[in-house]
Amino acid sequence: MYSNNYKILQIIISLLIVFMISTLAACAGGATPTEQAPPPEAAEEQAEPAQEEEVQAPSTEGAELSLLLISHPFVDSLEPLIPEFEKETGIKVNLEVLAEQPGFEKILSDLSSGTGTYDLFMTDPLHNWQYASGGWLEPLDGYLDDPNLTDAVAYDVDDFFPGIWGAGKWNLEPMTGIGEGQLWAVPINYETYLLAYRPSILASQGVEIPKTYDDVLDAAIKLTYVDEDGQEVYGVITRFDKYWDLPYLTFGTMLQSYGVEMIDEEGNLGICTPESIAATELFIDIISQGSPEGAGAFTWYEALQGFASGQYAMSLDEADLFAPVYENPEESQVSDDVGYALTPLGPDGGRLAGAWIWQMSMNSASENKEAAWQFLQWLTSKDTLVKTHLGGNMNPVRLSSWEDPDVSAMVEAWGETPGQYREVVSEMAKVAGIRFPPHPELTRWLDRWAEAIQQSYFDGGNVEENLCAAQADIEKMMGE
Amino acid sequence: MTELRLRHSFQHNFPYKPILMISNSKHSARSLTARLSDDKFQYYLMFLPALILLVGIMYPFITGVYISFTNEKLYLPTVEFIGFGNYVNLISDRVFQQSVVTVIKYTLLVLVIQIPLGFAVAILLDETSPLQKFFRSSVVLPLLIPPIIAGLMWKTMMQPEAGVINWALQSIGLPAFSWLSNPKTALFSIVIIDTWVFMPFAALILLAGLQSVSHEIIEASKIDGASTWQILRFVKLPWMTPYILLVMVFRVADSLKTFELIYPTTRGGPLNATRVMHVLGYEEAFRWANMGRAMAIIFMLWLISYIVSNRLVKTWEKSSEETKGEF
Amino acid sequence: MSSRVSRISPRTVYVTLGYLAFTIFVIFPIIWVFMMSLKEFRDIIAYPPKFIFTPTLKNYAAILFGSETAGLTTGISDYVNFLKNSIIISGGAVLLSTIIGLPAAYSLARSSIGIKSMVAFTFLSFRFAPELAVILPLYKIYQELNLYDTFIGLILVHQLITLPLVIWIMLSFFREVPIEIEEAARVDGANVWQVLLNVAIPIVRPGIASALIIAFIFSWNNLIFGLVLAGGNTQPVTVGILQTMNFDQIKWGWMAAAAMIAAVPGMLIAIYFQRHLVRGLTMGALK
Repeated sequence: MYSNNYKILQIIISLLIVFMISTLAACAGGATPTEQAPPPEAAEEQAEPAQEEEVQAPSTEGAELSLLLISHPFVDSLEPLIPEFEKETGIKVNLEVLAEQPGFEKILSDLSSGTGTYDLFMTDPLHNWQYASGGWLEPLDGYLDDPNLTDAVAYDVDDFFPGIWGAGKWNLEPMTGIGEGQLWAVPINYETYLLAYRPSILASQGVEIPKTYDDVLDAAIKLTYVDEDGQEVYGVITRFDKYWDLPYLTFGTMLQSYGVEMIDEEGNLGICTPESIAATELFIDIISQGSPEGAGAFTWYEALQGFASGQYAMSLDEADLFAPVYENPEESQVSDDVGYALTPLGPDGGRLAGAWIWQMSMNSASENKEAAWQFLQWLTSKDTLVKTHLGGNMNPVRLSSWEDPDVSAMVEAWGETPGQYREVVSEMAKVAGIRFPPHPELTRWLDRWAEAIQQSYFDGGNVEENLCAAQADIEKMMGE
Repeated sequence: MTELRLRHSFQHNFPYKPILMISNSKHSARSLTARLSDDKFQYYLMFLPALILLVGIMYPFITGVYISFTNEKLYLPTVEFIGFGNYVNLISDRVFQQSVVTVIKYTLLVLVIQIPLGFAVAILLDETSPLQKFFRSSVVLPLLIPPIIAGLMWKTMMQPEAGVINWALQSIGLPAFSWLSNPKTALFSIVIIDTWVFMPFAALILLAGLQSVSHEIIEASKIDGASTWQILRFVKLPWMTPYILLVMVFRVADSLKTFELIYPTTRGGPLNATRVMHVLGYEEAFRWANMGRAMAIIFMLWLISYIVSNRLVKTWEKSSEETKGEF
Repeated sequence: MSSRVSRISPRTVYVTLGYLAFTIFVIFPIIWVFMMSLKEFRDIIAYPPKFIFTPTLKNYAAILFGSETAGLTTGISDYVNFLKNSIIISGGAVLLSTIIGLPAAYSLARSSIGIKSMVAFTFLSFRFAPELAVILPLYKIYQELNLYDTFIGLILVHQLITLPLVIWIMLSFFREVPIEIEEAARVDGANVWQVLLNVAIPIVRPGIASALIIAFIFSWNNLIFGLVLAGGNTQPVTVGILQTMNFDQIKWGWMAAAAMIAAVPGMLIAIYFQRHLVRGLTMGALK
């Protein structure tokens, strides 16, 4: 009948099989989707269409690239162009698009895991200071200078705005060295800040375009009302999340115009200075009087959507590259009624602005580096960039792009009067810059600063106390 | 035959006690003791894979505790042992202190709201009604939906400006509420979402308790002239104590480690209003790349949860035995 | 003489009101999001909120079949992939838990107290412990073992959810199996494995079903494991929804549709399988 040993044996064997399978699968589990390794460099030419040919590419055909991108108008402009690239090069491209905050977290966790799941990803100088420190970025100089990989004449590095190209370089020394050292990323677009406004609303309330930040407060109050249809109109919208982009970019523009420096040459923090306090108090006043209640949690998505929905009279110190969305009748309600102005002046008549550059970097753990470089080169070539600009990717990082007739014509139409957008952006570009110390932990310090600002908004006051507490905390963090 | 009788008496000594038995069975030449040990060995074998997994899980946990004593950062290749450094820093850190207070507030709110509410719903469900099955099905629904989905659903409804809840409130003359966009109201709003998801849990458990009250005792009380209210208070409620405690065990443990309801919905904001310990730990790791500090936060959370859960489970067991004894 | 007046007792009124309030509270959010999944974009952002509208299946089509809408990112067209991943992870986890957990629960039910009790309670404590305590270090460990972003890796971690459930639920069921039946089989010469497979398991089959169903649904609904340990290849549906969600208003219809689909397993279980829910929810402490 039943036999003891036979059954036991059966069970032991099945357990062993289960364990063996799991171990085998575990070993094999490290494979990335990019199955095929790129063949050696000294390769023959592939048959490619004659037009747009910039490079004598080694045969990377058949490779597969994975890109991690942050949801942004740039991505919308890129997607239709991907099939072109795939056809030309035979390289398959997979895009993964995430919202900003989860996106950055995902990039961090993926890069630090060292598995090389993503070959390329969207990034920026601020985050790259951390990624480069971790050794997760592949330096691009080698690929750029290699004549087999890059057609230097067609690519034309000098065509990029020097400051923007240089922002992709860093020498890995904390607190110094932007623009020096290895090249960690190529730029895709850049943004600075401006004041967007609704000419019709301003006209209807008899309000002039504000010149200083005090003017903004007056305007915000006057421009917050209920219109004939019973709809609420608010004076101002801008981002206000407890997030580093507040003191770094948008509110950062106002701070810098007030003469606030995060850290000066002697290493003193400027967070708790009288200028900073004054700017913060005024900013909070503006938001309290001119924005709806939920404004304390607006990210840039809400700022963009909000203004495009038509409910706001002004978009304060917000990204200029929102313009393509505003100007597109399919994506906004304000496409025929939007104007652009310079950011307001600080109390001493000064105007400075923050700068943000979206870039793309290569994962140092990528297994398809040549194919990845090919993509980067294609993406940031003159032709492709122009196509993205026409698809809504602003602002051009190449001089030639601005001169392109189609781009020129498109941009010309933007704003209240022809050429207004271009004029404002050129002016703002003169005062825009990254005025922060490069450091892998900078986002953490800026988050802390943003917290103090947001706290003051919800407290309804206490600005000095909050800012000074933040400064003390940040000093402590810097010491660690 | 001898063997059969012996086996029969053996039955009453279950679970197995080593009993020396003489077998003159022709089936097996092995003594019964040898056979028993064989059984024991088999039982251990049955348990072995689970044990291996258990040990397997211990390993990351212990590693985590070790990491909490280092200054490990995601982007630094070198790791240094810093003893209690992270813990000392955290205890004096304002945001950390706030996260501890927040999670305790959260847990207390959950208990105070969900247990009475669950009780009320249980009483409702105890009533026979033609729609019984419908209600029982719908009760469970929120419990079985992914918490992140629940968070999303409520987030859309709770928008201050354009959300349907505020619209409904204003339609009946009540003022709009700031829900998730104001630090003062955000925690409470999350507790509401938590209640929507988990109150059914409390209701189901308490319903099981209500329905298990001995009918004889109820009948006897009715004969003695007790009103429905008196029956509820003096018969049902004491009986319910272990059930209430059981609900508390689960709800307290779950509330202390809340993450999935909060993180996708508010990310810990606005300001730090919903930044509970578990969320803070995650952020510390994946927003600020500080693994050592993150593990310290999480280990402290684990400690709190372990101590409290243990206490509650023991209380529940004791109460369980007592109640069974009385009735 | 009093005329016959139909009396509605106050009690009935309260009960009815209670049912009404309760139903609205529980059901309304689900219905609201369901409606949102069927709305056109302009109906979604309309204010005052629209309860009557012309439904459309566009949102479902978009996320399931990846339709292109001019100028919009289509990250969510990977949705079907996410669903597939969730099925693999949760299904695999439950399968593994059955193989490991059934014998383990049986052995716990039939053997003497001692180290086993301690071990059993350790499993219970997994239910109460903050997940990151294990997951965060595992994030690093998995990288070294090449288990990061693999299905095997995730199936193993999900044991943290499914195995304690299976063990504790089945423990309570096994304890109810009459020992006489097992003894009878032993008399016939069966060893413990045979008793388990041929006697005990057939008896507790309904219990197994409920344990598996509960384990599956809790594994399916889980976010945090996949958030930390899954990458581009293995992202389950919960993580997928979180990361592609950016509150871009245009996408709300898609979000609602995605949410509805992700909630389907739970809804099915609520309707069809609620019998042994209580036992499952309390880890076997209650029947």
